[in-house]
Amino acid sequence: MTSKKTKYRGENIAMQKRHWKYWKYSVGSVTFDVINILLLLAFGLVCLLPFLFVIAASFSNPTELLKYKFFLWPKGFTLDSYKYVLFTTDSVGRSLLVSVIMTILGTAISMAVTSMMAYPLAHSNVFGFKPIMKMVTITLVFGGGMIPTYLTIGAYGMLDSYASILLPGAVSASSLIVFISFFRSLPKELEEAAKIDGCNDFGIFIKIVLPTSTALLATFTLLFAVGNWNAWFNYILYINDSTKWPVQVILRTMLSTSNSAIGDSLMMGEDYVPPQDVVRYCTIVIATAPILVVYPFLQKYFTKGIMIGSVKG
Amino acid sequence: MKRERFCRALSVLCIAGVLSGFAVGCSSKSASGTEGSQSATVTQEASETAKPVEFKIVLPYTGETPSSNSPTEKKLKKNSNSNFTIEWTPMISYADKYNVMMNSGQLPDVLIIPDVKADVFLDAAKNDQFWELSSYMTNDDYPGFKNYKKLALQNCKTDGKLYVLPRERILKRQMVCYRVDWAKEAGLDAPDTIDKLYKMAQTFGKGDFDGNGQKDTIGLALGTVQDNGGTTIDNLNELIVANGGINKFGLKDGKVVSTIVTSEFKSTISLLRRMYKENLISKDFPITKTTELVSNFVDKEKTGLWLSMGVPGPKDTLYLAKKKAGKVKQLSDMYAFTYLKDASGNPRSPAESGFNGGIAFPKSSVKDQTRFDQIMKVFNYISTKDGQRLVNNGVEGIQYTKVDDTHIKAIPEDQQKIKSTNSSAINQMSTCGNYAYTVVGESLTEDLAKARNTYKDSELVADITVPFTSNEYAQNGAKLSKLIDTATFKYILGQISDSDFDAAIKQWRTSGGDKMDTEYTEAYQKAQSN
Repeated sequence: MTSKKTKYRGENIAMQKRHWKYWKYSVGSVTFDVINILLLLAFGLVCLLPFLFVIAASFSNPTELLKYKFFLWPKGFTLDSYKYVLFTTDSVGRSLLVSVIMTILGTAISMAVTSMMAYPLAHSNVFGFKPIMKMVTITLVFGGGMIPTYLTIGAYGMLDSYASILLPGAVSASSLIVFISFFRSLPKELEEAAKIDGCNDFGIFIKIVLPTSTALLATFTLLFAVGNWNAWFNYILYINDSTKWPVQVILRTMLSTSNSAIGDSLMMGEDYVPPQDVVRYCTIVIATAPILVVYPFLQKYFTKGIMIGSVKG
Repeated sequence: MKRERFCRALSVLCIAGVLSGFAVGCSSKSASGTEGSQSATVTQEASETAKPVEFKIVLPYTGETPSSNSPTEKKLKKNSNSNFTIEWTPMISYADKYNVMMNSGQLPDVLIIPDVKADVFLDAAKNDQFWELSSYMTNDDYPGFKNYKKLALQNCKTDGKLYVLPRERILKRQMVCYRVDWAKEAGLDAPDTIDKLYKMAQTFGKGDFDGNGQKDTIGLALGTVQDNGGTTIDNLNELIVANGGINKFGLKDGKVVSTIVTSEFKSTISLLRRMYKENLISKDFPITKTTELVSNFVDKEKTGLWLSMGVPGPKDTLYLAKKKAGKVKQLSDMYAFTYLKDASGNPRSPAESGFNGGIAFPKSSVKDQTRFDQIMKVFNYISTKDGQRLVNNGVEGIQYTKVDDTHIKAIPEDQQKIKSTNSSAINQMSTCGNYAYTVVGESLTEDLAKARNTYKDSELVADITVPFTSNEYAQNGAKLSKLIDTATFKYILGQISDSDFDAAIKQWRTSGGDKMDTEYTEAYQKAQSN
C-alpha cells in the first residue's frame, strides 16, 4: 500500500472507500459472512414459518384446512373461529384477564423483591451477608420436589389462593445472583458522591442505582413477564376454582390429548372429540399475542441504560 | 423534577407490589378459616335432615372447562338434596393432582381413584383411610346400589373389602374400526379374523385410497397408551385373544400365568413385526397416542384401519366435511366396526374389568358417620334409575328429547335452551349404567350399542387377576412393564432379533414376572378354596 502524506486522519480511510485497491475485506471473510448469514436466515425461517402457518390457519376455514398441509396465507378468510373461541366459550375471555393481571402482579412483585434484596447483598460488608448468601446458594442447587413444596405451601395457609403462585416464586436464586453481580459492577464513586450529598441508602437505591440499571430491569421485566405468562401447572395444583385459571391452562387442555383411559364415559355415543384444529390455532394465537406485542416496546430500554458520562475524571 | 416524579412512581410501584403480596397472602387465611367453620356447621345440620348435605368432590374433565351453570348439576343437587362443590381438574394433570392429594393428606370429601390396584391407593386402603362400603350394598335404605353388576363390585375389592364405588363400564370394548367405503372399493368384507385383518392391511397399505396419487396409505394404524409406568400398544390384547391367547393373565395347568410367557403373545408380536417390515404399520406408532388416532390419522385419510374402543361420532371432522360435500349421507357409509373372531370362527374378545376407577370417601375429610350416610344417599340417588339417566344423559328437554322408554335423541349443544359448557362432564361422577338411555341418531352408534350388549359369556375372556392384588405388581409392576414394553417395541421395529426378544422375556420373568405369577396363583387358589 502506498503511504501518502495525509492532511487529516480520516483521509486514508476515505481514500480506501473510493479505491478498490483498498478493499478491506478478503475473500475468506466474505465467504464466512455469506455462509453465516445464510445459516442464520435458515434458522430464523425454521423458527418463524410454523408460527406464521398457525396464524394463517387460525384465520382460515376449517374444511379448507383439511385439504392443504402447509400454507402461509389464510385459505377462506373467516373470523368465525375467533368469535367462537372468545365469546361462546366464556372461559377464554375470562382466563385472558386472569393471565394479564397475574402477569403484571407477578412481575411487579418479583422485580421489587429481587432488586431490593440484591442491592444490600451487593455490598459484602453488610450485616448477615454470609448466612443469607449461603441460603440463597442452597436453593440454587436443591429443590424440595412437588409434594414437599405442596405441604409447605399448605402449612402457610396459602392453598387455594393466588398467594401460592405469587409469593413462593417471587425470587429466583439465579436472577438474584445476576442482579447482585450487576449492582456490584456499578462504580463505587456514584454511591460515594451521593452519600457526600447527604443521601441515605434507600435514596441511593431509588435515585441512583435503579435509573442506571434500566438495561437490567428491562431484561428481567421481560423474563419475569414471560415466565409468569406461561405458568400453568402451579395453577392446576394449588387453585381449585376453575374460573381462576389463566389462559395457558385452557390452551394446555385443548392441545394435549390425554394418554390415559380414565377420561372415558359410559355414554360412548358421544365420544370426546378433540376440538377442531382451527380452534386450537386460534387459542395459540390468543395466548401468545400479548407477549409478542409487549416485547418491542421493552427493547429500547435494553440500550438506553448505558451509563454515558456519569463518572467524570 | 422529572427524576423526582420517576423515583416517586417507582417507589409507589415497589410498595404496591409488596403490599399486594401481603394482601393476597392474608386473604387466603380467611378462606381456610371459612373452610373450618363450614365443617362445623355441617355437623350441626346433621340433626336437621331437611338441610342439603355439603361436600367437595374433585373430578377430572376432558374438553372445555365445565361452566358452573350446568342444568344437570343443578337438577342433581335438587333431586339428591345436596349442595356439593366440584373442583374440576384437567384430565392431563389429574394423575399429578391425585398423587399430591394422596401424599399430602389434603383430601376432598369425595375423590376418584384412577387405579384401585396401585400402591398409592392400596396402602391408604389397608391403613383404614377410607370408609368401607360393603354394608351399604345390601342395606335396604340404599336401593340404588342394587343396580350394580356383581362382576364390577367383585373386581374392585381390596382384600375382600369394598373401599370404592366402582364406575361401571362396558365389558366388550376392544374392536377393529375401518373405512367401509374403502373396503367396498377393494372388495373386502369385515376384517373379523386375524387373517382378514392382515389382508385388509395389505390391501390398504399397498393402494392409494385417499386419492392423492401416492401409495402412502397406512395399512394398520396403531396407537399407544400409558399402562402402569410403561407405554403399550392400545388394544393389543384383542389381537392376542383372537389368536387364542389370554387377556393379561389367565389360567394354565391350574396356575396363573401372564400373557407375556405364552406362545400366543410371541406369535402376535411376530405378526406385527412382519407387518411392520412390509411397511403396513404406521412408521412412528411408538409415539402416537391412541387418542390422536382419529384426529391425526383417520380424519386426514392417512389410514383406513385401526384398533379402537369406539367409533368416530357424528361430530367427526372428516365425516362433516364429506357430508357437506354430499359424498356421504350417514356415518355408516364411511365407518364400520367389527369384533374379532378366533381361527375357528367363534367370537373371542377380551373383557374389560367392568369398571374404570372408583369413587372413594376419605375418613380424614368425612369424619362423621351421619354426614357420611348423607353423602352415600347422594350416590345412592345417582345409582337409581332416575339418577343414572340424569348423570349419564342429562336433563330431559334440555340435553335430549325422549324417543321411547329406552331411547333418546341428543340435542346439540348450540341448540340447548340453557347454554352451558361441557355439561356432560358430570358423568365422571356416575356409578351404575344399566338404566342409562341409548342415544338414537346415527345407525352406526346404535349398532355399536347393540353389539356391545349382546354376547355370550363364553365369548369374553376375562383377566382373572382383576379381583386380586400382588405385592410384586404394586411395587415392581411399573419397572416390569417398562422392560417388556421397550423390548416389544424394539422387536416390532426390527431393531432387535428373535433371540434378543426371548432374552428380554426371560429377563422379565427373572426380575419379578414369575414372582408376580406365583403371588397371583396363591391369591387365586385361596379365593377358590374359600
